[in-house]
Amino acid sequence: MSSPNLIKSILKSKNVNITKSNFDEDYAFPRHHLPKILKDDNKTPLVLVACGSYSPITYLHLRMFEMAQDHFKEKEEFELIAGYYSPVSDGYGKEGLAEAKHRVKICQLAVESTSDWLMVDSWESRQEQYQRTAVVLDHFDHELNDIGGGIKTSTGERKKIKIMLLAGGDLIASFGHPGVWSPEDLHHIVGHYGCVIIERTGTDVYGFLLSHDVLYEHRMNISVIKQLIHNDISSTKVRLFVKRNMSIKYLLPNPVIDYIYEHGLYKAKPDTTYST
Amino acid sequence: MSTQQLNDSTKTKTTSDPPSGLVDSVDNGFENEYVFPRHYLPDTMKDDSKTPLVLVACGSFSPITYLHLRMFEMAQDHFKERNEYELLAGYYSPVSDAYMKEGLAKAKHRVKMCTLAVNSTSDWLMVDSWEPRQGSYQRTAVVLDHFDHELNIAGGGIRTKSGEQRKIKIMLLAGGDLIASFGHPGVWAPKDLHHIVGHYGCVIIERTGTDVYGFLLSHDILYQHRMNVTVIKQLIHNDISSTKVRLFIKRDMSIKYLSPNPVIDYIHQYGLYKAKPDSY
Repeated sequence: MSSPNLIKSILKSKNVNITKSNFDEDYAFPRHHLPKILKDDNKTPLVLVACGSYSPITYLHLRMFEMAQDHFKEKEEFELIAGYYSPVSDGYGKEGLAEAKHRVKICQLAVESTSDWLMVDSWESRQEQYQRTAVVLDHFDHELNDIGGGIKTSTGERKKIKIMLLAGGDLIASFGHPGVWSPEDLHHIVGHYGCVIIERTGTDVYGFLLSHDVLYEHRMNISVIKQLIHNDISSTKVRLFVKRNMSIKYLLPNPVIDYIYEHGLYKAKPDTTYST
Repeated sequence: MSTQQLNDSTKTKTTSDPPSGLVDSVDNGFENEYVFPRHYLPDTMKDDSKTPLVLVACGSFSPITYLHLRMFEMAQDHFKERNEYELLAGYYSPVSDAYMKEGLAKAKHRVKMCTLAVNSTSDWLMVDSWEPRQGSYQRTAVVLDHFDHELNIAGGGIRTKSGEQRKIKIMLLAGGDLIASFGHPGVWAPKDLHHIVGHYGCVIIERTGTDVYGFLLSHDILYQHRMNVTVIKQLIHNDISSTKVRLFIKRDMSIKYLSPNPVIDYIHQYGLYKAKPDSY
């Protein structure tokens, strides 16, 4: 039902919705770390998109991209050219979500201070309503390939950039929960695009792929990367630590920690604290 | 000083013969002369009603990771909540090369990486290079005695607000693996255990899923000194093992976000932990 063309037209109309927002700057799709030319013409250019709350971003989120980078360096098929964080919109209504502008800012602080290939796209977060992942990937396709024209090879021709969703095992497991994902969205995300899944030690992603019809059908588009170092820095726990005045040092980059304290994010609400 | 002599001296708590060990140290490439670091030690206590405390973390630190740094943060949170101790400072004491453990980079590198880690990120942690400068392996009990000597005898302890000098309590900060090793027969001398846990004290970072309290119950010496054993639960499962980090480097995989950037840069600059040319 939601063909790529239909989604693109919905997308174009949705651009009108970027009105109410308290972001400091106007929206612009980030391209500063996108290379101009493909290094190896034999490979397919690839961009990874990580959707999530990022409330706050942690070293685990940053590690995900590093693990993906290692994975694709080993293989011959793709040339990984850049990575994007796409923080979810406040319209998602999830517990613990700091305001979108804060979450975007802390993702930016994290990647700017530590990375030379990761960027933060705020399109999704600027939307008033929650945008389905399938729609978000279409937005990236639109910006990278329609507007951006893909990437140039060394011979001068233009190649379409392949886009894949980068996710943790929890997101993939949610594919199995009835009613959460529409089948056509799953076909679109996994079939039309592709998935890179970071598998937690001890979980069995391959077993899950076997059991899930849509995922199994598109298993050729799914890369499973085993997480060899058990580094489960959960944002939920980080928020809890901040609320309880416990240290979050070394769980996320220092500029992010400073920002959280500066803006009083995740602190206990006055009427829930115990007086000392 | 031979280790046999030190064996006997740890029967009691006196350290009348300070284990300077400088006679033992070989030329292991350290650039500067040894000096006990005191730059983050406060001059005065903030709260006279508390006991001043310093934590010492012994280990290989090959290399130091965010997990090692988190250990001190968790300990700091723990003592902030309680009224008994005022945690003044923390020290890393990297083991000497003589320990001969697989994967040990040279002592001067390990000390340098620990120093880069704490200098770039902390204002209360320091790195002591006495232990790694020794030509022979120094037992943990002896290392703690060295700290006791430097902090309390040479340093005179710390001044209270009212002007008196107070002795600084020293405790070993360790992960569950070190404590579990207390149970392995033949690894630790009972008198050392009495000295470490009874005379000093232990702060143990417990990994989720392990049962440190159960172990304390089962181990005679630990149980005897259980009042000196503090167990801190690790709420965020952040098992960045140095062994795995070394493996990642050997296999040309990224170690970004597992250790501070200055440490990563140093590792690559000096070619540490790389695969040996003849191994594949």
